[in-house]
Amino acid sequence: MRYFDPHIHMMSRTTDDYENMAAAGVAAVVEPAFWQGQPRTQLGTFIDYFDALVGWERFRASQFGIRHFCTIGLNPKEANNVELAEGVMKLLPRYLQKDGVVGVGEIGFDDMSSAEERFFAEQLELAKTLELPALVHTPHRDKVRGTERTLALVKEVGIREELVVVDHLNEQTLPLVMDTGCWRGHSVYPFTKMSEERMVALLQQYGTERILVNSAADWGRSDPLKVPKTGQAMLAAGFSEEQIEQVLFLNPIEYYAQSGRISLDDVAPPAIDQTQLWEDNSVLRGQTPVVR
Amino acid sequence: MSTTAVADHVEQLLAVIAAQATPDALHWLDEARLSLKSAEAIERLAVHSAVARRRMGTVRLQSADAIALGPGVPSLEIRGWEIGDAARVVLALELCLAQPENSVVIASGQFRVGDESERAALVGALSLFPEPRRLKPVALEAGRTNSLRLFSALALDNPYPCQFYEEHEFNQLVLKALFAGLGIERLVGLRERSNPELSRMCESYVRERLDADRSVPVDIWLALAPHCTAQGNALLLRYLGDGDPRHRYYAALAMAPRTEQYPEFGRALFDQAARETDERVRDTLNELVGRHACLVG
Repeated sequence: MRYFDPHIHMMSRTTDDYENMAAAGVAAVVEPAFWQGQPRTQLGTFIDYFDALVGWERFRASQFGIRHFCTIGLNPKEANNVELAEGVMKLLPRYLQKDGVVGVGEIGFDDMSSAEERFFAEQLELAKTLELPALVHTPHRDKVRGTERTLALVKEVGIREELVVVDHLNEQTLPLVMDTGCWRGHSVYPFTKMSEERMVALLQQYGTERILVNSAADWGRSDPLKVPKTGQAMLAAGFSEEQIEQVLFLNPIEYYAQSGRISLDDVAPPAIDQTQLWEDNSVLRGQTPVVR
Repeated sequence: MSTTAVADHVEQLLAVIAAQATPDALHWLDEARLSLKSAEAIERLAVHSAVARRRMGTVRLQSADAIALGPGVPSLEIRGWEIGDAARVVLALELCLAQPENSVVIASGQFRVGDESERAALVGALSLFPEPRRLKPVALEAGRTNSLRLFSALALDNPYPCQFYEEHEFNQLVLKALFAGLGIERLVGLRERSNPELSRMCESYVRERLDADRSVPVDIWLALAPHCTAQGNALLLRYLGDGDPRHRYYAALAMAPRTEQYPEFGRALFDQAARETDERVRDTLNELVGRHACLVG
């Protein structure tokens, strides 16, 4: 069984996690740009972070046979330092051109301030102009109101709704998004957000169309194996393997393929092992092979 | 490097690209090259470079001759480059030709804004740029990466380090390649740049691995042998008979040039050839023993 985790902050995870994810069948991930626990104060730290998302982290994942894609954006928790945020906005177009950058994100509301709204709207515009998916974080506090304001902003900006995934949904907010063309993201996360069992109940109630499931694993108490575990829960609840593969592997690929930067072929088992590439004269000796 | 030489490199790369690119890809490349003649060319280069792989495809160059870099300098092997990376290099070189006073700014700027594959393409092609020596800070920074993808672009099949690195810089590159598990047979100019300090570093690393009961890189002998101490000689003789045929292979290759200085090497190679069970190692030993006439008396 192959899995795809479309929202996971691998930069905060260890290589043990990569090993366990690979063993559990996670073939690929999308890592959205986010904050790092406390707000950044310098433009340079954003540059270095974005560079690491398209550089070092992608390589680190490849060492475990996992394809790593990312989204780049200004997250809501760092949108309230307006001068810094304006500087970050100027960086985005350059990064959004890069291979493997499959969308704008993660953007949205946190405190629902006017500064957050400004930069949320600007980035939805950017996604609209560049025809890129937009990964939207709904707030954890006053979630229903935040989701309503999110959907209203999506309509106001006029971005094609299928390009937008509204994430961190629950029993109250999923029905709101079902009325739109937006994709529906759910984060299965211990103690907060969604659980596997509740996710299964939602799938039974609403079906699998345009549903995404992720672990949103980060530096908090979270579990990078929640996508495979949701698969197990779905199996136990009577879903077929085809349905599980649809939700937990094909759906995220279909969603992000709208970027033109990822396809099913890209997520096939690791393409080239360098020990074979060079005609039996292996590049590496005894260490981890470079796989692409 | 003269602008004529750089222009020749561009022509050679364009010919190789044209042999394999689709019409759409070639059209994109032509438009990109044209756009670099107008204003904000450096910014345009950054965008073209970012999208080059998607526009050109990911086929690898085949049947491409190595690019000659001048008398006494190893050539640059480009066979195996991705066509998109070749296009990136063409665009950067052409911009340098258009703005020769800015070539260092252009190359180092491209490194700064490139993602890892863009950086790897640039680093692999540093020898082709005008005034390549002035790009050493770019090479050294690339060398500080832990990403094997970028580090390999610097260390393997790349004549830049052996041409421009100081001895201590070159030695650190070799040792890091060994640490990273890369095959140093592909580290260009290893024999020519070998030195006593490098041999000492390798001997020390072998001892460290043995103390930790960990595997020794099978090809470390290529870097260790040229200027090694008596302890190094003892290691070579020991690993010529190691259970791993790869150790036997590389120890033999490393010992062969030293048989005049150390006749016991010649005897050891001869004896090993007689009892060698691995076909590839045996063929190699027979060739080396035949080539070096210092045999057992």
